Amino acid sequence: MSEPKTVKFKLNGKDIEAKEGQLVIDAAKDAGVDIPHYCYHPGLGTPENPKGNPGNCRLCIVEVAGAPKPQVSCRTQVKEGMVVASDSPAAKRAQQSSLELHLVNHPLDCPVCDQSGECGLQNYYMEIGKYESSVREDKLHKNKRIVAGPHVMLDQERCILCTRCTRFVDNVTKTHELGIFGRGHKEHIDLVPGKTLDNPYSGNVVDICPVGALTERDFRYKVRVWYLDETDSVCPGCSRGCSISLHTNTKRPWHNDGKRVARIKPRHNPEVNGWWICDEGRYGYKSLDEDRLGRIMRLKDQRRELSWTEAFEEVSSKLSSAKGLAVVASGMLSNEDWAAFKPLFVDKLKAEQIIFTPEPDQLGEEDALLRKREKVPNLKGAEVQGLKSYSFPDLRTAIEKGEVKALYVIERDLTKIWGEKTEELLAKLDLVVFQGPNKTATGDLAHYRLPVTAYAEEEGHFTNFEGKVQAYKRALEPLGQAKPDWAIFAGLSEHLAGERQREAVA
Amino acid sequence: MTPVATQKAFTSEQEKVLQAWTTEYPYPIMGLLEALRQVQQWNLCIRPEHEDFVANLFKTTLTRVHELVTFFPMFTTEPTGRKRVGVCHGLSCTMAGAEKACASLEKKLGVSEGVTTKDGEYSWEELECIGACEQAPAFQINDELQGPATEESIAKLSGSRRPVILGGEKPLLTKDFADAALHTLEAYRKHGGYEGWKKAQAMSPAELSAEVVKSNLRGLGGAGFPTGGKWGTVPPVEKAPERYVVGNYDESEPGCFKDRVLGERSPHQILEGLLIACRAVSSKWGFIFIRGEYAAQDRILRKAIGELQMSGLAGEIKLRIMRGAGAYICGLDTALLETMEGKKAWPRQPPPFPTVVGLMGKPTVVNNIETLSMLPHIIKNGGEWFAKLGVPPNPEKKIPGSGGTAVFSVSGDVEKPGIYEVPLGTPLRKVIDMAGGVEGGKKLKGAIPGGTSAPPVTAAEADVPLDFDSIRTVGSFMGACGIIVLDETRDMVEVAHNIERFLAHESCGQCTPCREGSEWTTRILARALDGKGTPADAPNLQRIGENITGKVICALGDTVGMVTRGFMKKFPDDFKKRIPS
Repeated sequence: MSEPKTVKFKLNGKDIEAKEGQLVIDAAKDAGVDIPHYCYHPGLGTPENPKGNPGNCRLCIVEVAGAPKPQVSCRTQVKEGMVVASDSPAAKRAQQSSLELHLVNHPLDCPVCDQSGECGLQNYYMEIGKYESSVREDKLHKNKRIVAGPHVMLDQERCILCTRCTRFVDNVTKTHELGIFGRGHKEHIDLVPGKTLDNPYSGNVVDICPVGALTERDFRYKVRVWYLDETDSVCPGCSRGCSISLHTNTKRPWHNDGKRVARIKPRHNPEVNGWWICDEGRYGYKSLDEDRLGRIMRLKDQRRELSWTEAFEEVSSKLSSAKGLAVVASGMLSNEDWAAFKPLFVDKLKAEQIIFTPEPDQLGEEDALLRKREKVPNLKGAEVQGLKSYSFPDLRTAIEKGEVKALYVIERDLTKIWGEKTEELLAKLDLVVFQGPNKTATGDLAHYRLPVTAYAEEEGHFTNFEGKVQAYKRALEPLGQAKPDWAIFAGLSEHLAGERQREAVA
Repeated sequence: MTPVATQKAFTSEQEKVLQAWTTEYPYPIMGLLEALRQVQQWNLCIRPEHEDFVANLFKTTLTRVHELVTFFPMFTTEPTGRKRVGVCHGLSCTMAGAEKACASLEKKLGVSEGVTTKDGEYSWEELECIGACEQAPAFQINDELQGPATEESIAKLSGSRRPVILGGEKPLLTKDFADAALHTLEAYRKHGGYEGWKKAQAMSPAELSAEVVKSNLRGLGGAGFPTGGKWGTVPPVEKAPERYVVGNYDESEPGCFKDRVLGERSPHQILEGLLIACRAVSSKWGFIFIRGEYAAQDRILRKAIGELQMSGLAGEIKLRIMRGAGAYICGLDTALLETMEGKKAWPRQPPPFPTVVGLMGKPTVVNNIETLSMLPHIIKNGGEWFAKLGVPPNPEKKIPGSGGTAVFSVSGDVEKPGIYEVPLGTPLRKVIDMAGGVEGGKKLKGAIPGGTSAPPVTAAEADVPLDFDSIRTVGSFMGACGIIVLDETRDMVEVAHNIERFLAHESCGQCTPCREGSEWTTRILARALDGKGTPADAPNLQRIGENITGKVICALGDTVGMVTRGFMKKFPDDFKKRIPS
């Protein structure tokens, strides 16, 4: 494939270079000119498939010299020498009038609408609208409260019929739950009779809806969007590692039911996830605020809360004297964690067994769009470190035979693998250490339970199944005493070294 | 998993009938609309279980099927009466008292609009134009035109059609209409029928096109595009071997009924033209898309096709009919093609034009059936002869000219509503005079020259010659040649409201300016008629109209913005009475 030819065209009086055949709206965006639009969405249409852009909202209208009438820039391709104006009086009037017509029957219920603050109608009204309303007629009424599916609410009155959501379920998920029924001004988006919007990617329709017609049931009425902070992150939900944005509420802690994380939105990344994320990833953030560990605990032999120094001393001393150490790790660890993991458990402690394969606790559904079977982000990180995993049956046999007497469990709940047998197996051991961000049954059975920061409270990198390394940033303060996994590994390493020094002195 | 239905949606015989629609056309999906019509006829409605079966049968999504069912007014999700009575409330019918007829009907049946009588026998509804303006106020039962909705016919719930008045001068298409048997192959051939086709078979496609280019024939369905020029844009056979011709018989614009009459009187004339067009663009398939309300014309055409096929005259060309389901927008070529593909009638946005990418992605010529009917005469008598009948081109003024005659539907406030075929270039006033002049000796206030989407002309402008180029000098267009005469008593705000209401009802809903603008304009006019006009309304109507025309996807949308502006410009006093300044 040869590269498309570069052509020159004029946009608002400026000479601009673009690829031949590129849509005017895309070329303008590359040149820093954002032409207003609703129905156009780059994830739903391409120049090769212009049908992806229906051109029905008529908002992205521009003037093209020589054309008999204004053109929609989402369907007009750039040609050499073309002269385009998106800011001429005629183009501006056409854009403003399209906006006005979109608002004729819009309910303007912004005070109770979750989209408020990130609404295409509000934003364009401030950018290109600012006219006095001429509508004296009553609004047409449609259905306002339709439970479209487990995650999505539909308000037909707010809908501007841009068809993004129907194109998403038709072209992206190919699940066809939504359609545009009726005709003319009685037209409305609705569920196909007998269907529910319950495909594994249903939440994306909320993101692409430019208005408040499709809102998240999960997010409804929780917090105003302008109170939220956004942090670039990577979804830890599977080995795809979709680029996400964490939307957190810390300025008004009394909103959002007191929870810090309000929602997750996909972040466009053409190399990993395109425009979308799955619902599992999107709604998997609850564990960031729920059932969290914050205290460093010795749970057996005189239960008490410890300081990190005490914990490092006690745990490192027990680890160094343990006979037959096994480590259950997890693809939840970051590249930085894995880098600190190896010197501690492999080089210093010479663990008998290291296991990080996903078992039922970390396996799930896979599909052709995004979802991967392994529900952890970074198994590749272990591979990169040259680590090889034993299996859980190996470990169980070793425990039963008494070859393994100490177990270090990182972020995993063994009851989800061994079920009721777990307690019996763990009882055979001299030492069980658990570290993780959340409460688990395994954590409760351990001798020591160490609190770990969640991915949203630290920064690091995950390497996805294709070997792509992606950075995630810190969105929140750690809870309680929680430390990143690597810091705990480092702390233990230091204390092991210190102990050996002391031994040498003695 | 959906629970297994305890009862089958259809009997095995019915399933066979539906199955047959999957093989009627070159692609199975093209039979979808007809299959749904069949389901509606059997069940008086289309239920989700029917939709499910049909979606599976045609290997399409439930979404698409349900979109069709909710888009086309002929399909319902609740049972209609076994007899579905429809009263037209298009402009001519409203002017002739459609509202009164509806009131009588409501009283007679004892149910309001859209409600079925308890015995399941009757339901009634107001319909947009049913193409019978000369029978105003027209009514139909189950897509069969009954005639005028008089007190007597409503009392009997059946009517009789008035004979269609025919007139004009130098007629071509209608000259043999006095022969009541013209619809038969035998009679048609007696009058020289299929001689043009025989001559055409001896000519090459290129020669046929050249003859039609010479004739100056322009499309008579609304756009007035030169027919020969349109054919010339079809890519060569080597590049695209499969191509189609579609006869557009979706006449639905208030004021237009000439296609109805052409089809019921002379179906073979249409078919002969269709064969010639097929040969001119090397198509093996000729389709006719007929509007859903023309049940009788559909039957007549199917019979004619049967006769033609028995005679062997058509050669290898396969002829098929498809019927619409009550959407004016289907008359627009790209919306028509979408419908034929089993989709709701949302217009496409050319380029590419249908002659390059048309039906099922193949090059497709869509010509109105009157345009097609002209072809036998052009081939028989020569393009030059045809061109001379009308208005010659004027290359200096870049006027392409208008060849031949046109069949005008004349209705409204006129003595003898009917169809009048005259050479293009005949003055509007002359055509009105042929139709007996303004009804009851009243004065002419104005007229709509081309069907209600064409802006009106005033009485002072009535001497304008009716051809594609002259009519533009008075700010209107030929449309589909439907003249509605408006006498001195007409309130032009009421007229504009009736037309905008029609357009709002028929707006397909795809693009925002038309969908919202047609409805908004209609409501402003309704409020003005209600005595609640405000000084802001006039400038607002003007502005909304300007903001729609030229910014929408299709020509219907363009007219949404033109109609009210046209009436305001030509009849400002009527608007001043309704809207304070």
